[in-house]
Order: sequence, then C-alpha cells, then structure tokens
Amino acid sequence: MNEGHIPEHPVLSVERATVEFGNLTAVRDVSVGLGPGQILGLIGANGAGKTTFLRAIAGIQPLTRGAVRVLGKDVETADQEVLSQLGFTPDTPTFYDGLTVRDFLRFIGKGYGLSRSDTDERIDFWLEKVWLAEKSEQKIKSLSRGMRQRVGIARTLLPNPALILLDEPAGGLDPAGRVQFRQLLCDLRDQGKSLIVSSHILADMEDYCTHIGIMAKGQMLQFGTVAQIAHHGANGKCRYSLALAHPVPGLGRLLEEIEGVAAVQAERDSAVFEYGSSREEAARLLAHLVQLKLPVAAFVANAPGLEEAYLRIGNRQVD
Amino acid sequence: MNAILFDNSVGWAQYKLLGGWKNLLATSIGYLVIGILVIYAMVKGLREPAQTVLTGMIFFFLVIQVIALLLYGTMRVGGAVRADVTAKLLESHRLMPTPPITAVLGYLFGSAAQALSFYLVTFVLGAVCVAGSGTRLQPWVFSNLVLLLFAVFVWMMVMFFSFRSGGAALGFVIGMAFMVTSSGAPLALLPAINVLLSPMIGSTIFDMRTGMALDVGYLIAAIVQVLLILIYLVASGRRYSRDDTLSFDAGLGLLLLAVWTAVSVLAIRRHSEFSWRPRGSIPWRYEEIAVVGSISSVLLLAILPVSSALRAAALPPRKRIANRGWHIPPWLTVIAALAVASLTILCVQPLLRQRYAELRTVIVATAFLVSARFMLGVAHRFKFGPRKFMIAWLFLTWLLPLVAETIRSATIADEDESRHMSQIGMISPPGELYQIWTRNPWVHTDDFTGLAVQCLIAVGAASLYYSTQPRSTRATS
Repeated sequence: MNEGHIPEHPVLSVERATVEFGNLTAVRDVSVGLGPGQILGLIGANGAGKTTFLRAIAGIQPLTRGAVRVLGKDVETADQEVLSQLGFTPDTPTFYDGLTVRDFLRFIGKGYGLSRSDTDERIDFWLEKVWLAEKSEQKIKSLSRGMRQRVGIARTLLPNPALILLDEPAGGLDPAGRVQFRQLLCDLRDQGKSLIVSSHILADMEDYCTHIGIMAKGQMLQFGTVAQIAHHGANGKCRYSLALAHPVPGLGRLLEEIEGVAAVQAERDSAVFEYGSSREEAARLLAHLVQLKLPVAAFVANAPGLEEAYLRIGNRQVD
Repeated sequence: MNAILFDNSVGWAQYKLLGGWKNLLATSIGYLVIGILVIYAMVKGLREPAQTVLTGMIFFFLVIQVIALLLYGTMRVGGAVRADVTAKLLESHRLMPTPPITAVLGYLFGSAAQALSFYLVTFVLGAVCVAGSGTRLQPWVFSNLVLLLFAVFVWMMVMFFSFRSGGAALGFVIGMAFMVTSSGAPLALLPAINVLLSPMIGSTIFDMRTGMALDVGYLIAAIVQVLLILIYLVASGRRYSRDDTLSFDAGLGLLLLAVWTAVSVLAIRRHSEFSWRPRGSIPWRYEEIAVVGSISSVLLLAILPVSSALRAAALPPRKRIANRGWHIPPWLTVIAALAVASLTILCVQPLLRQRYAELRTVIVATAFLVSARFMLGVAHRFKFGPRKFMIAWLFLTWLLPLVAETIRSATIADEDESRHMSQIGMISPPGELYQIWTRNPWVHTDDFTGLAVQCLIAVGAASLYYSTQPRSTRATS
C-alpha cells in the first residue's frame, strides 16, 4: 500500500480507514491527506471502493476501523462546525422533487443556518456558476439528469465548505457542461478549497487535479501528484499500439522475441506492448517491425499520462 | 426555540412540499366554508330542533378530528420519514449542521402541518356547534386537547420506527382497528395501554354529556405521554443522526423501562380511573392475567437496556464516544433492570396476595435477565445479530413451551388432570409467572419446580457463554 502523504496543516486527514460490510472489505487501510488548494482525483474500476471511501469521509458511512479528521476534528464525533465545512455530492444526488430549485436551495441554506438574504445571494451566485440561473423557479422533477447533477453541485457549494467531495460529478453533464465544470473546479482550487473528485474521465482529471489516488479492491494502490502518478512505474518505457493490414499468425510470439519488448497483449491483427519511450527507440522498433515484413497499418506510441498509468498500475497490481 | 419551531429547515421543507402557506390557507378556508355550509344545511334541513342537530354535529366533528390527526397526520409523519430514508435524502440532511432534535421536530410538525390546520379549523367548527347547542365549551376544548396530545405521542412513535422500517403508520392504524373491533381485548393483558390510550379513558372523549372533568386519570396519562414523547424524541434524534448510533443507550432504555413499569403499576392499581368505562372493571379472573402480562412485558422491555449496554461495551472506545449517551456496564444494567422489574412485582402483590409470590417472581425475573445477558453476550461474540438471536431465544423459551403445554392439556382426557400445569409450561417465564400468580388452585403444581427450571435455563445460558469464550480472554480474565 502506498500511504498518502499528510500535509502539515491538512484540511483532511484519513488514517488507516477501513470499511467492512460483513465479510466484504469495501475500503482497506487507506490513509490520505489533503491540504488547502489541493484536488485529489480518485480513479478506479467500478466497485473499487471509491464511493464508500467518499461516504466514509463525509461521515455517512461508519468506519469499521481508522479515523477521518476534517480540520483536525474526528468526523464521527463531529460537531456542527465541522459538518458545515464538509460538502458531499453523491453520484446520484437526491432532492425534494416537488420543490423548485430555489426552494430546495433555500431549505439547504436554512439547514446551514444562513439568513434568508444571504441564502438568496448565494443561490443566485451558484446557480449562475452552474448555468442554472434560468431554471431557478422550475420544479426539480422537471429537470434533466445533467441539470439535477448541477443542482447537486450547487447544493454542495452553497454553504461554502472547506472540503468538497464529489462522486462522479461529470457523469450526467454534456460536453459543454464538462468544460464549464472543469473551469469551476479550477476556480475552487485556486480559492484554496480542498476537493476529492471521483471520476472515470481521466483526461479531464489531468487538467484540474493536483493529486491522484488509484483505488482497487478497496485499497489505495497509488497516491501522489499527477506527474508522479503519470510517470510511475514507466521506467523509461511506454505502451505502443500496433495495427496490421491483415492477420499474421504468431504475432504475439514474434513481438516477444524482439529484445526490449514486454507485456505483449496480441490479437491476430493488432497488439499492445511496452517498449522504450524515446523517439530513437520508437524509430528502431518500427524499422524492426518492417524488417520482419509485418504489414504495419498503424503504429502509435502512447505518451505517459493518467490513462496509461492507470492501465499500467491498476492492471498490474490488482490482478 | 425559534430555530426549532419557526426556522426549522426540515419542517420548512415538509411544509413547502405540502404547497406552502398558499395551499394551506386555501384548503383551510375552503374547509371552513364547507363546514359552515354543512352546519347551516343540517340545522335548516333536518326537522329536529337546532340544539339537537348541533349536539350531534359535535360528535361528527370530533370524529373528523380523529381522522385528521390519527389517520391523516400519522400517515403523513410516517410517510415523510420513510420517503426521505428510501430516497437517501436523510443522508443529505445528516450532512447539514442541523441539530438532530430540531430535524426530528421538523418532521413531526412540518409534515403534519396540514393535519394540524384541519384540526384547528375543525376545532372552530365544533366550537360553533357547541355555542349553538347550548352545551359547555369545556368538554369540547378538553377532548380536543387530549386528542392532540395523544396524536403527537402516536406521531413520535411512528416516526421513531419509520426511520428503520416502513409500515409503522399502517401498523398503528391496524393496531387501533384491532383494539376497537376486539373491544379493547389487549387491555386485559396489558392494562398499561389503557393509560396511553388517553382518548378512551373513562367514558371516552366522545361522551360530551358526562362532562370530561379534568380528573387525575387524564393528568397522569398526559404526564406519561409527555415523558414518552421526550424519551422517543431523544431516541429519534439519535436514529436520525447516524445509522450506527444506539437509539436507546442503557440509560435511556432504563428510563423507558422505569416509565413503562410505573404505568403498568398505575394501570393495575388504579384500574378504575383508566379503564374504558363502557367495558366496566376488568373481571376478577382477568386481573391475574393483567399482572402476569404486565410483569412479562416489563421483563421483555428490560432486554432493551441490557442489550444496549452489551452493544456499547462491544464497541471500540472511539465508537463509544461517537455514540453519545449514558453508557452503563452490562451487569450494572442487569441489576438496575431487575430493581425496576422488582418494583412492579412489589406494587402488584397486595392485589392478589399469593404465597411468596414476590420472592418467586423476583427469582424468575433474575433468572430471565441473567440468561438474557449471557445469550446476548453469545450473540455479540459470534456476531449473530442480537435482535434475531433474541427473538429465536424467546420463541424457544417463552412461546414454544406454552404451545406444547396447550397441546398437552388438550389431549388429556381427564378434565381434572388437564387443568394442572406441567413442567413443560413452566419452562416459559410467563407460564411460571402464571403458575405463581393465578388464584386457580388447579393450575398449581408445586412452589419450587418451576423456579428450578428457570434457574437451570440461566445456568445453561451462562455455561454456553463461558464455554464459548475465546481462550485468550479466558486466560486474561
């Protein structure tokens, strides 16, 4: 397990958090720390334990062992002050569908002890930010999934929490919404908020996250900055994708025989494998493939990135 | 106070879901107008004297009050909680820094806002009828207040159970229907229910002729209801705040036990003040059933604090802090529960005056609570699910022997012999209690065999507990 580094004055510190459901361990011994202005992107396959981990941080899911502290205070014994610093949007936010967007957010404002005028001011601000200003008087039941997702985000941000937890927030958003949402997260980061975002859209996460945690089977396999994770375990190698014009029998064996080629996953007319990442090495490899009279139709060197790192780290360590 | 009643977020949302003040005002005014038209039409349309018609209308409006508060209000409160639990909105609420008690009160009064507005309008309509009929206003006001307090008590109960399971509101409605259709048969077994069912005390709140005097029975019922409302308010607050919180810690469980014990004793000792007057006093032969039923109910309820004490003791220290409450060590809880149970026994003894009944009953109670403590200990040790485990244990030791005894006596041809209770029946604590308290000389077998059986069960439970103790713990202890 790669334990997360805990900053000196963390907004969030998770120490050896474990969540068990009977015989199933959904989160196992996870430690993570997050300071102001940091965004942790949680990635992992379905069932990796991301949602349970976020719910445990929010204090909704009781921990079997370990501790979660927000601003130095234990979430399980949290007082009202700590709760008001913690915002959580689940993957499918729930609302009073019979209320209008504004009334629902007013209800949230009341719950956080905000005055009516302050609440209305904040509602206008956040609805503008999540591009729902014109829907404020509509009943929530009439909104699309993406719009409901935005209301959920507005609900979380309304009380201005220091720690924001977002579970699959971009799930229901359209492409334009995703771009706007990315910008919103960058703004929050720049304001010094701490965020944990669970998502499957790794390309987006590279843009706004400062840290990445890869989870599998309830464990935090890797935790580090985006750059650290992207280059972790590459050892000067990169993944190549090869496509042939027609099937070649024994393609996998042919590739394995080339010196330096590793982790070959071959079909009859395509293959994915690892090889040196420099341009010279790529040119040499291509020349070798041509020399072997392979009908090369496409040859792509996948640059190091989160997706590459996830596939490399996730596949290798989970199985 | 302002945050609890008028600026309550949960209450406000529930009230808005009902359509807010516009809807509330429109339906209330509409209902008021219809009500006045109905009164006018009845007075003008019927050939009876106006005073007679209006007296009849008072009863009609009281029935409307029952429907508004006990049917509609109860369904609303239970439904609001269940809807938030199943839609996972409760989790969203828990993230808000709203104090749990405030949230619970929000559910209570916010979701019942419309029922309460109907209640107020009906109260006004009834008061109009009272004024027109020439009867006194006091019985009308008093019966409405008794009904309102009873309704709040019911709402609180239904809300508490709705946090965990659906059907609490429906269960209450079915229970009430059963109570009415059986002419209050369960009251013979558990007279304490008499005290809680305050609208049915004496001639019931529906009898406007007898005057509904502010007698001590209603006062005691009101105090008991308020106490139970407060106990369940705290428990509901805990249930609202977290899933893994003990709703009843040992302290609160003991308090509930003490209140129930006091109510049981009062209901038996001052039966005439609480019983449904149309039914009259409990016939003499039923009194011993009431005593045995009440002691049995106290013993069953005593499981709650004992179980909570064991559950709290099994929690890691940090979790115990998260479970804010009054945690008492398990053995101390057993002793306290026993003390409370013994109080019932001592208080009801003068009624029946059976030989050594107090001592023998205390032995039964001790044996039962000791075996419950050990069996729950086993359940916690093996993570069996204490509730299911205890239900199975009670089925085996309480119910099954009585069923077997019934079958045995039914198959014996000799009538005299079939009246005796055998050893099989005395395996069950209620069976043994009946053997101790009954005035029927045929039932008695002997004074000590049943007690020996009860003690043997406790020794068996203790043996099971200690024989399954992990070796390391045994060495340490």
